[in-house]
Amino acid sequence: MKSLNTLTASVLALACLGSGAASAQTEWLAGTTVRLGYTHLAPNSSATDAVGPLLPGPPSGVSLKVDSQRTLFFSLARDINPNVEVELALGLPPTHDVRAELSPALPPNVQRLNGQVIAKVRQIAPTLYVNYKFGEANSAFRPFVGLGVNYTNFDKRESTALGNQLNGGPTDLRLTDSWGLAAQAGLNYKINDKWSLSAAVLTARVKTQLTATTAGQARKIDIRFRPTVFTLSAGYVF
Amino acid sequence: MKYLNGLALTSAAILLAACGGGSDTGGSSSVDNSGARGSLVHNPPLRVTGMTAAEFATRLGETANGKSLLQIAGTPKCGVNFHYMEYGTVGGASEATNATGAIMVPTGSDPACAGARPIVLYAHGTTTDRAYNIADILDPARPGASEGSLLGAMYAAQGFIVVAPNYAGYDASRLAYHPYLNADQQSKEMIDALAAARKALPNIGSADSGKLLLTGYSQGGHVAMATHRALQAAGQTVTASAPMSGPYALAAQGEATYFGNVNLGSTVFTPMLVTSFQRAYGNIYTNLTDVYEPGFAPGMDTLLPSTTPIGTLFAEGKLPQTTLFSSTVPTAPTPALQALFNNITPPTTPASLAPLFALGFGTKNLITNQSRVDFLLDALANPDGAVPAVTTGATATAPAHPMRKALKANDLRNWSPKRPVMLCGGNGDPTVFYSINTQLMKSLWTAPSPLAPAAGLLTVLDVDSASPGAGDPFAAARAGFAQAKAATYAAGGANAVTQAYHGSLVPPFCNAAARGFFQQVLASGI
Repeated sequence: MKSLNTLTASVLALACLGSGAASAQTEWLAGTTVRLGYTHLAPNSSATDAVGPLLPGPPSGVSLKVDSQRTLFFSLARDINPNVEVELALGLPPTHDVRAELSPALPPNVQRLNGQVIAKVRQIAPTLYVNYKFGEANSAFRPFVGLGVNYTNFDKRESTALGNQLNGGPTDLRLTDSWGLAAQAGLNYKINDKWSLSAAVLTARVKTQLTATTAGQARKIDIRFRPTVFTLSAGYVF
Repeated sequence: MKYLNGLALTSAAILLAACGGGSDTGGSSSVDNSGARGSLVHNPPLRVTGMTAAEFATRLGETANGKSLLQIAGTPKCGVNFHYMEYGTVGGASEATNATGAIMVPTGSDPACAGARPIVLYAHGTTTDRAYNIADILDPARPGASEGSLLGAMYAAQGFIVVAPNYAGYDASRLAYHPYLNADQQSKEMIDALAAARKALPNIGSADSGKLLLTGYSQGGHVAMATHRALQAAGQTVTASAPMSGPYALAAQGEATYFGNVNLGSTVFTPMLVTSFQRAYGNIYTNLTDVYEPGFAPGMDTLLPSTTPIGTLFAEGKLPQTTLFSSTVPTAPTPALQALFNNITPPTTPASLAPLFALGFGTKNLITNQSRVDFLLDALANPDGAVPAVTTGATATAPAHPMRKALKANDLRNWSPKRPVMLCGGNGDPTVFYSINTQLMKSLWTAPSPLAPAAGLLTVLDVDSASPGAGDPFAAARAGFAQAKAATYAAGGANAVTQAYHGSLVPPFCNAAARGFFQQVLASGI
C-alpha cells in the first residue's frame, strides 16, 4: 500500500511538472531547477544502551538499529552564479523500521525480541545546500559538491506490538529534533536546456534522543545517524 | 502551474506536520492521577519482565539462592509476568499519598495457571532500603529481587496471582517516612494495593477468581493479620490468611525489648516505630533527644528508610548496630525497682539468649535511660498481660506512656478470625520472639479463651519443631528447615544460625507451608 502511494505520488508529481512546463511561467520560478527522483536512505544508526528505570544492568544491553528506506526525492535549486547553486532538498517523508538490538547477555525471554521491528518512525529532513558545480555552464557533465544544514524531525512514531512487549506495555515514543551539517557530492548530466539528470551521494550529522515512556517509566536512548543517502533525479529548469 | 504550487504547498504542509504531539503507543493505556485510595495510576501497569515456566526455572537455576528456592517451591508450572504498579493510598496521618508494588500474574496453558486465579496479597518484611521494589527482580543484587523471586516461584509459578505493595515511604512513594507497623494505615494500604491491582488484571491478561489469601512475613506478618482483621470488620471476602513470624502482639514485643530482651534488629525497628507513631499520633516526643541520645538524635526522624545501605549507616555512626540501651543501669526511684533494673540491664536469663540480649547494651546506645525508665515505670504500673509475666495474655488495660499507648493501638490481640488462619514461625526466632507473638496468639485463640475462633479455623506451625509423625501436612517444611538450619550451623556455628534465623532460614519454609495451607483451604471449599 505504501509503495503504491509513493508510485501514485510520483506519477502525479511528474504530471504536475508536465502541466507546469506547458503553462506560463511565474516570475519567481524563473531559473529554478526542480528535481524529482528516487532516494535510498541508509541511516547507519548507532545507539547507546537504554537508560532508565526497571532495566537490566547498567549497561542495560537494550539498544536499537534503524533500517534503510527508499522514498521520493524532491528538491528546488537556484543558481547564484554559473558555479554556485542553492538547493533545498525535501522528499516524501520516509518511515523507517526500528529493530531491537539486544545484548547476548540478556536472558532468553528478552533475547527472543532481538532483531525484531519494535517501532516505526517517520522523519522529515529538509536540507539546505550550497552546491559548487565544476566546469562550464554549458558542459554536459558537471560534477558538484555541496555543504549544507540538515534539520530532522521525527513526526510520526509508533511502538509495534513487539516493541510494547519489549518495553512492557503500550509505549509512547518521542525523539528530539536534530540540526546538523550536511554534505553531498554528485554529478549532473545536462540533456538539453530544460532537462537534466543528477546522481548524488549525501550525508548529514543527525543526533536525537529517544524517550520511550511505558506506564510512566521513561527510558532514554541517544541515537546518532551518519546516513548514506543515494539519490537519482531528473531536473527541469523553469 | 496551479498543480506545481499545490505540490509546493504539500511539502510545506509536511514540514508543518512536524509539530506533532504524542506517538501511537500501539495499544490503549490510561492514567489516573486522582490520587484516590485504590486508584491505579498507569493502566496497564508496566510489565517488568515476563518468563515462561521453563525460562523462570532456568533463571532460578543460575544462582545458589534460586536453586534452593526451586527445591522448596518446586518446579514452576506457570510462566510469570512481573508487573510494577503505582497506586493511591494514605499515610500514617491519613494524608493522601502514593506507593508502588508488584503484581505477578501466572501465564501458560496449564490448567493450574489459566483462567480465573486466586490472589495472594503479600506484605513484605522490614527493610531499611528506601529503594525497595519487590517488582524489580531483573538483577539478583537489587533490594527487592530476593523476596520478589521467592513470591514468583512460590505462588505465581504455581497459579496464584500475587499482589505485593512496596509500602508508602518506599520506592517512588512521595511519603517522606514509612508508617511502620501502623495497623490502620498498613491494612488500608494493602486493601488499596489490592483494589488497584484488580483494576489492572483485565488489562494484563489475567482474571481474579474472587478467592483472597493474605500472607506476609515479619513486619508483613503483622500487616497480613491487620489486613485480615480490617477486611473482616468491613465485611469483605477473605478466603484464608497465613501471617508468618510477625509481631502480632506488638505491645508485648515492645515490653520485652524495654525489659531488656533486646531483639536482633532493635536499633532499626525502634526508630522506625518511633517515627511512624510520632507521625500518626504526634505525641511520642517533643524533641528527638526525649528518646534518642544526643549523638544519634539529629536527623533520626528521617534516617530510615534510607537510600544509604544500612551497613554504611552503622559504619558512619548514624545508628548503633545493636546497642539499643545503655549498659549503665538506670537509677530507680526505689531499692526494689533498682534491683529489677540491675537485673534487666542486661538480663542474664535465659542463658541461651543472654549473649543476644547483651548485644543490646553498651556505651554508644541509641535510646536514653530516661526514656527507657519512663516506659518501664508505666509498664510496671499498668502491666501488659503477657510481658514481663503472663497474666491475662491481653494488652495493658490503661497504659499512660505515649509509646505504650501507640504500641497497644497497633497490637492485634483484640480480634478473632472467622476464616481459616495459619500462623507460621520458628520458636528460636531472635528477632520476633515466637512465645510472645505466635504462641501468645495461639493461646488467645484457643478455647476457653473468649477470642477463640470456631474449631478447626486455626493452624499453628513451628517449623523449628519435630514432626508429630504420619499425616503431618507440614513434614516437608519442618524437615527442610531442620536441614537448612543444620547446614548453616555446620558452616558458621550458632552465631550464623542466629543471624540467618529470621531473615533467611524461616521465610522459604513458612511460605511453602502457607502455600500448602492455602491450597488445602481452596481444595476443601470451606
